[in-house]
Amino acid sequence: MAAGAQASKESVRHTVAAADRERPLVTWLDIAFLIYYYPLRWVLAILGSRVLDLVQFCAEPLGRVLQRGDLRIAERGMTKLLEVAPEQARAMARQCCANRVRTSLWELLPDEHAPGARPVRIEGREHLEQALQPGRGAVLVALHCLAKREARAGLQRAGIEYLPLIHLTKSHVNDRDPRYAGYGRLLWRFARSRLHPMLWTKMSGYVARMDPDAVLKIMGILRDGGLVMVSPDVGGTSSVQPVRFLNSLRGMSTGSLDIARLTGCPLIPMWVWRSGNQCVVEFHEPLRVCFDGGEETRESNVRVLIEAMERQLRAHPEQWELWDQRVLGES
Amino acid sequence: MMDGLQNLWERLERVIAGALGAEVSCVELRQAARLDDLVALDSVALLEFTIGVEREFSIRIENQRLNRDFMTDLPALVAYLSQLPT
Amino acid sequence: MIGQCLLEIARTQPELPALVVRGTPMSYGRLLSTGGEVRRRLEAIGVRPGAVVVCALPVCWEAVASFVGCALLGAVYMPVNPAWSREEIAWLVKRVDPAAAIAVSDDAWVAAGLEHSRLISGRDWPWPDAASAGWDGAGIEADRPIAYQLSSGSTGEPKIVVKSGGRFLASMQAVASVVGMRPGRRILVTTPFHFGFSFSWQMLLPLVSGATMVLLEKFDPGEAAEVINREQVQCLWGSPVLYGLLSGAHLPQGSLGGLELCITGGASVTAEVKEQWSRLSGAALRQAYGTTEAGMIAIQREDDVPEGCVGLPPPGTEIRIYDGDRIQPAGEPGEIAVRGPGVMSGYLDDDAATAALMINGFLRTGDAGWLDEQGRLYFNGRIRPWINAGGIKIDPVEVQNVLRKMPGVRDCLVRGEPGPRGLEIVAANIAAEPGVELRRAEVVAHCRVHLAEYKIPRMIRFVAAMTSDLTGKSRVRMLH
Repeated sequence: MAAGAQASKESVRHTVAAADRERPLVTWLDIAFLIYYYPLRWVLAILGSRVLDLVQFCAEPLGRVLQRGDLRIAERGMTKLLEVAPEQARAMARQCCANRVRTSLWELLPDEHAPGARPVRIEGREHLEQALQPGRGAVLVALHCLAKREARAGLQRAGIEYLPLIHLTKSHVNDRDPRYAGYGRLLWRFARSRLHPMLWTKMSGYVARMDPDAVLKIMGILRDGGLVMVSPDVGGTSSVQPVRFLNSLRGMSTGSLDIARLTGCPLIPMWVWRSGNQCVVEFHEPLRVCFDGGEETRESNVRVLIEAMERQLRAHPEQWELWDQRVLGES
Repeated sequence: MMDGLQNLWERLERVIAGALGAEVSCVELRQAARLDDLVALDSVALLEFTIGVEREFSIRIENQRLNRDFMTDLPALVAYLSQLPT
Repeated sequence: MIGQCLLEIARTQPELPALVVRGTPMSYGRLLSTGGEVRRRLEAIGVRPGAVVVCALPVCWEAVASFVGCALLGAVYMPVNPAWSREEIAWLVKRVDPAAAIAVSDDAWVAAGLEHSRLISGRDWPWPDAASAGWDGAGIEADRPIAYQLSSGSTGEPKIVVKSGGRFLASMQAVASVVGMRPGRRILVTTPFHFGFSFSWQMLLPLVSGATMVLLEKFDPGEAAEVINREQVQCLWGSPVLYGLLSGAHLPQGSLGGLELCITGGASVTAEVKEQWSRLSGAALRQAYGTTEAGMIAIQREDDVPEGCVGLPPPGTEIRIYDGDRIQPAGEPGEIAVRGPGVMSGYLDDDAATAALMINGFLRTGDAGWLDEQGRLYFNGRIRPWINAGGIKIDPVEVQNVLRKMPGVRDCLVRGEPGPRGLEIVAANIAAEPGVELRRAEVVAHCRVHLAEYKIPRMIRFVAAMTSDLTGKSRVRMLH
């Protein structure tokens, strides 16, 4: 390993150790976790998915209380990137936080109740079925939506299975997952060891971008007529290029275009959103991309991809997961 | 037999040039243990190379062999290609 | 216009010192008098308004007087390096076909094909006895070119930048208002006038403002300090090298305390030089950013600015940041583009190159930067030609620097080349040290330690040697 990378690792280790020392002994999140892990988890097991219906009415006020910081960031992001009035952004940000509460609750439900209150409503299924052919699967293009795991579980029950390509970083699989940053020194390891497997078992099967064999695995699945899902709205690997997405410059992965080109598989937009307690999945016509030309054609394809994602995001901004995260590698 | 093997290396050289734009002679390929010692292979380049090999040799590589270790192991790859029915 | 401006100063304040040479002042009246003499000599050898007069002189009062003479005549003044080689002079003579040349020595100019009668010796001119009046500078139109300046350009031959009189004067006056250049201000002139910033800001700016140029014909830090103090110089305008030399000359602390305005440009100043300078002089170093084509683009107005900040544009100048055709909002980086009186009229006889630089009336500088919410400009360096490898931008200089660090590599050239499917790939031509045989696998392994996978050159060629041509750019001689 290069000296520079080794020094960087050391520096991260020191920073993390210093952050650990600054962590308080007990935080409110520890208390919330204890309440969840002991009485609340059993209550949820008894209530099952009915709890999602009950929470529906108080999700927004709960979101405003529990996610004050995220609410402000989401509001700012929406005002800037969607160029809407602050009042409109505030309303959408509140809905977004309500969705986040509901998603968190869904993830906390024991496995047997996890699939959700109602079957997912699927629209545009014919686009998917027409695109699939023997020996040729399809690449589903989706944004990072809050209801994505619910949607996947619902689609599985409806007979539509796909393998998501996820942006898994080393921090997700080790002690440094930022989701546990809010816990105190006393309980964070206790909380993590119980929460982590529970959250990850909801992800039944995936391909991680950092897997060196990721693209070849995807190739195998597509060749067998299967489905793979990609979410280009997060950058982070070698195919990241700066693009204009919404109202700013972002690093975005365009590897899905290369996969489509090389395998001959269509790119099918899959939009996921939540309407009340109902999860809706829309499949759209395959993206009109062409691979005959050089640089201009490639740029044109990237624009088609971005415009499709922007359309979905503008239609349902409160469903997008990434308003409060700087995972887009903003330049 | 040796001609056939030489032919395989030459065809691989063509695949690399066509798919990756890299000029690597079959002499260099034979001397190298791994393709990624000679050519930078990010994920898209690896896919390009794999599909290039499948098209050049009109084959379908089994899913269990679709991994970076196998596809960049030149001697193993050539041995695999050489035992395929022509 | 500039000629008229100078005449006005000479008429209203003839005793105002225009310049100081070795302790001896020359008033505006006398400067105009000697400028008039230059005008007469130029007319006598057939130079007409609009003709080009090349001036190949070092820092000396004769160079200033030559400009004044050209301004009065309406000729185009072109300062060039007096140390140019014969080839360079031959190129210039062919390119601009000067009507006259004012130079220290004749030989190279005659050898280049300029008639002897068109040469004026630029040394040992008689000091003007008295101020004279009566030159009206009539017939000098505002839009007439007043000067040609050489621009280095990025490739090939240097280009010739045309500056027109009226706009040039307006840009000088705008900058003068920002830096407080006015009668009574004294500026040290150390850099020869064939440098763009020196002609504009060390000669023209003080001249049109009625300020005084204190000429230092040969730069020596100790002597410079002595002159600054003796002549009570308040303004210094130079490259960071100048300030570095002064700071490093072990001058006593505070010895340049009389300076009030210290401007630097052309390159970034290091924090170390800034700190050393603050011990020598109470005046903080301020950045100014400009190009030969665009004139003054931004000047730092406050003493303390964030890193990389070069300040605000002078009055009448606008800055935009472009990303392609799109104007970037505040905070977003892109290419710096300028509109204002300081912008050139165009390149001489090269409308295509001029048009290529213009966008919606703004001149592209080829430099990268961004504007903050207050409109201050931040400079990020030259926009480099990136390799566009399938939408991902790769800096060839970064890859070159990595390759140059490899043991056994003497030189290399990295650029984009067409690859499969009409997209660019990273290509490297590498010349090895004598007796060293480099292998592809070693190059790839070395690059892998320092670069991300997608930046590693796909095409690697081993070449016999890199040679550089007259433009100074590397060319490659192939191995076979």
